Amino acid sequence: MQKTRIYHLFLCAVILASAGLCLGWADTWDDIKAASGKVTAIRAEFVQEKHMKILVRPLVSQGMFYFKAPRSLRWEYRSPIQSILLTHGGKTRRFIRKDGKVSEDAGAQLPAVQMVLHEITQWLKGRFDENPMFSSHLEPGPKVVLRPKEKKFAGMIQRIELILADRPGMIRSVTIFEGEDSFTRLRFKKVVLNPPLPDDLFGKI
Amino acid sequence: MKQNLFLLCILCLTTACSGLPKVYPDRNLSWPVRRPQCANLFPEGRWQFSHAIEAEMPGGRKGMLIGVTLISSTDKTIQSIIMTIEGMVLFEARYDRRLVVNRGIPPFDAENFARGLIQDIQLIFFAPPGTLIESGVLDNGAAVCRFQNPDKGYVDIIQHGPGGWEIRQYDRRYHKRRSIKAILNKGGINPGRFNVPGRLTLTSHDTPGYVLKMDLIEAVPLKDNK
Repeated sequence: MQKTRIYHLFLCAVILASAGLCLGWADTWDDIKAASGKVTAIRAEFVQEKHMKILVRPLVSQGMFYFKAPRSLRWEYRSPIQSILLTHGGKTRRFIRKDGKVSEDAGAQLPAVQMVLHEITQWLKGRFDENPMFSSHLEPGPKVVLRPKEKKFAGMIQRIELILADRPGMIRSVTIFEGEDSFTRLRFKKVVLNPPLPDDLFGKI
Repeated sequence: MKQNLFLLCILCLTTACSGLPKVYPDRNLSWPVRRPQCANLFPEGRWQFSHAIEAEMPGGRKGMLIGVTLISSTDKTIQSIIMTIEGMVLFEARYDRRLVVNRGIPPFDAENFARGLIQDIQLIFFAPPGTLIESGVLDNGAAVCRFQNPDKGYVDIIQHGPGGWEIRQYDRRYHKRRSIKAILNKGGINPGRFNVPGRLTLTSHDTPGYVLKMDLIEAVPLKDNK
């Protein structure tokens, strides 16, 4: 249960960042919420780096991210593992492509993902300061910092930092700190806001 | 009386099924019989390996994880990290004569899991700690080295030509506990000292068992590698 919740928090942060939600470009949460209402779809490439003190170099993953309001998602890792998370019509599934075959990953994480997706609709409205699991701070940068409120969660995820891009509706990076010497950084590039995205993209591999 | 006879038959069958495969003498003198040559498929020095791990658990459930393993063949130390595809660390442990788990998120917090994982890593990356007791060929002609470990169990290292190798671990009663099949040319690399398998498939024959299919992401020799 704890793992599920932690994983949920983790995914929240990742998806939040990946979605390039409408943060910043203002000094207040209200401004963020106002800007957020204009984003209905997102397409972006991402690079994920896992840094740990003991790693001689970071582990790098790459992929594509698609989001379509109200809650359709395609989160696709293309290397080193080909994994596709699809959410559409209230259903969430994860698939692994390996040796030319596609199989469904029945990991225990999926219920947590579904829960996250529900919260994304809240975040799409820019309501980062309303998630009861985190305390949220808007800092110069502009940067949003989320910290778990419960101590036992803080032992797993210390904090999450989101660096906002100059352009409204875009996030430059998100860094999830599990400890001072262990963090995951996601950088987004080629972000397109409100592109036309067919529904098939979220329902088919 | 009939019942006893039946049990005796079952016992005989069980023993026959779980016995060690017979090792035949190898007439080809080129086949090594010395320990270093039998163990030359294991990495020497310090390495960092990253694998995409597909875990098949009882009931047919599958899950994909990333595993990072740092090993030293010199002092037999291990550092192991298991994380989700998204980069969240679920398990982190270090073994240096004793096991220290730095992070374990349920169900990866179980002590049995950590101990079993370290034993699997030792089997994959380290030459057997025991004595070479036999070498030759199996029924199918594959070259084999047989070690007996300090726990009285056995480890067979089987070479299937240039494309791969296999490790089979048996307990003292000859029950197969683990098998590892390595495919060298499936995304593997050859850093000059030994061939890093592109794919490793570890099968636990315990009940309940599991299968780990490990595809190599990268193999990095560490700086002070000797």
